[in-house]
Amino acid sequence: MKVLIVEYEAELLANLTDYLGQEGFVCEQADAFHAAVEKIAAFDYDIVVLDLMLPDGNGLELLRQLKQDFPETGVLIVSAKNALDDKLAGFELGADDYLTKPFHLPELVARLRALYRRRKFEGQPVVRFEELSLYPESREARVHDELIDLTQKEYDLLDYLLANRDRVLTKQAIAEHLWGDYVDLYDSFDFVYQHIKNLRKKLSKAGAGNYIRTVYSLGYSFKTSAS
Amino acid sequence: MRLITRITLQNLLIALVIFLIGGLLTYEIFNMQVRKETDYDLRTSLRHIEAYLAQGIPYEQLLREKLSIRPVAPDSSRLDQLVFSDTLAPHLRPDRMEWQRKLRVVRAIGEKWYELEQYSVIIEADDVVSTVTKSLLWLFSLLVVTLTAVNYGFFRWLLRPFQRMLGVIQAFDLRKSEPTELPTSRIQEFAELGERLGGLMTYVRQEYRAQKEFSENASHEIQTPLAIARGKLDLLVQSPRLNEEDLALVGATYDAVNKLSRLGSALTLLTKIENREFVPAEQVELRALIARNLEGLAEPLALKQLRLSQDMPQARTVLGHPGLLDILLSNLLKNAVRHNFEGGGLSISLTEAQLVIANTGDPLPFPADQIFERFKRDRRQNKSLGLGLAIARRIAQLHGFDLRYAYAGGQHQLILVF
Repeated sequence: MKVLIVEYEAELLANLTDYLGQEGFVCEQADAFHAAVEKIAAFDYDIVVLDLMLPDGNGLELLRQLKQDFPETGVLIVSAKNALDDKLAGFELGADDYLTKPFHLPELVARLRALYRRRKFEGQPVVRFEELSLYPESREARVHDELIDLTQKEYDLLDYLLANRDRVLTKQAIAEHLWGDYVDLYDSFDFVYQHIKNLRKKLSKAGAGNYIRTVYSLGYSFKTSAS
Repeated sequence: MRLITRITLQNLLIALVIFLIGGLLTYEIFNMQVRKETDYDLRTSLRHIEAYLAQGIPYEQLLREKLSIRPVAPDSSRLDQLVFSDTLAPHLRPDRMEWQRKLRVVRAIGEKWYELEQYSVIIEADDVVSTVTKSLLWLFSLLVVTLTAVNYGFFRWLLRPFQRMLGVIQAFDLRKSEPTELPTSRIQEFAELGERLGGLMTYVRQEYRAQKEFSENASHEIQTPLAIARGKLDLLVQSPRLNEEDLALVGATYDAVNKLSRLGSALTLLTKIENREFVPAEQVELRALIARNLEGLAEPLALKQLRLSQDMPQARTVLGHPGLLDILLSNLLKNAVRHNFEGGGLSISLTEAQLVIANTGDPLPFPADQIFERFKRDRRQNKSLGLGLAIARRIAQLHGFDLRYAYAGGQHQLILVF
């Protein structure tokens, strides 16, 4: 997956590039409106991660140009400006997704993967790993091609883990992914634990391997290799 | 009262006073003039009589009505003195007495002395009053009609710039950025008013925009370093070199960064509400909004095994901002779950007049009147920011609602009075 990251803050740009690079994405950087315009004109990108607050031009203007000249490219808007106006304007101009700063990097990875899936696959996309297969459109999970009965949250959790294989997912990142705005509710981590427990139980009952590991005091990880 | 009505009434009142004073004056002047004329006539006719007497015509032949001539003994002290007086005397018929003007004089004609008295009927006061009143009433009526017509026509025309300015002020919206067109006028005061008003509106809008921009920039400036810090932590936790102690440190840092980030968002929201960036101008149905929030809370409710009782017989629509009202309800409901016992109760009652959310829980560790203060929180609840209820109250205030707290029978009650 080829991604252009348009971000003014150098450190944030470095974070994104490093993390997405570790995930195996091909990342290019642009730290200003004009740099971004040049890159977009010169190369093809699957997705542009776009910060709306750019020093030398409006991010929304860039989005408009992108959608006009390269409608095939997906756009994920990133902004600390949690202003509803921007969000609405962004969607009107054809942005595919919107993330508010600060966000968890695994969240961005999951969104990018989902966006890529939606844009690139015609017909039913499938996420596979060994005996596991996930069908995002019907939100179904199968083990050895046998349907397993997951709740919506359990499905989301498994999807999130699979999108971030071999990464540590903190409890916060998982809670925020599953509950969004309700995440500040006291011990949402207990729910995370509950869901992980149930998911593990259901997977092992269906004969799947034990891939979900606990990372001490931090969270969980989906391991692709036996340790 | 409309300005034009007020001006017209004021004018009419002044006209009325002037006409009353004018009427009195007219009456007095008229009376004075009449008396002067009467006295002049009395003197003239006495002079004629004196002339006849001087010609030697016997006084008996000269006698007639309203004239008396009596020969008197010479008395130099009274000679030639004209004495005017008002007196009651018979008029036309001997039994009909009326006020008359009398001139008496003692003259020496030849060797004889006469006392002459000439009477004249005075025009009656009643007649004067009625004449004056009648003519003034006509004048006054004419004035009322003219004044009213002139005021409502002319002043309305004159005050047009004022009326238009009023319209502009009523339609003034702080949030709109297009400049307001204020009517111009050749009248100095109106021109000045328009100019000042335009300046004021521009100033207020600039201040508002600056404040709005500041809160947005502040939010950006706070969230960006936090995003960087969190990103670094996200990268750090992927490192295979971390041992359990390191992981514990990273975990604690993670928690603190998250809390700071939520704090930043909450404070930005508070600032925006206080800056009146949200307009409560939509029809919002609360029962559905509560139901949606309860769906989001299904898991915590189940995990804490709370008994939920709802008494919401009918929908309740209020004028408000849907996003803010959602935050208000969500904050109240989350609070009721958070500060609850395991297996406790949560009851929601929505009526036409109010919404009551009650939950079981320990009494507050601080005085009840501080519950809506910022950063006032139960220190035992580490995850709580202490801003939820402060935000809730701000939102309630913006909507003109009253948010109250009560603790009774082991129940916390938050009452939102519409």
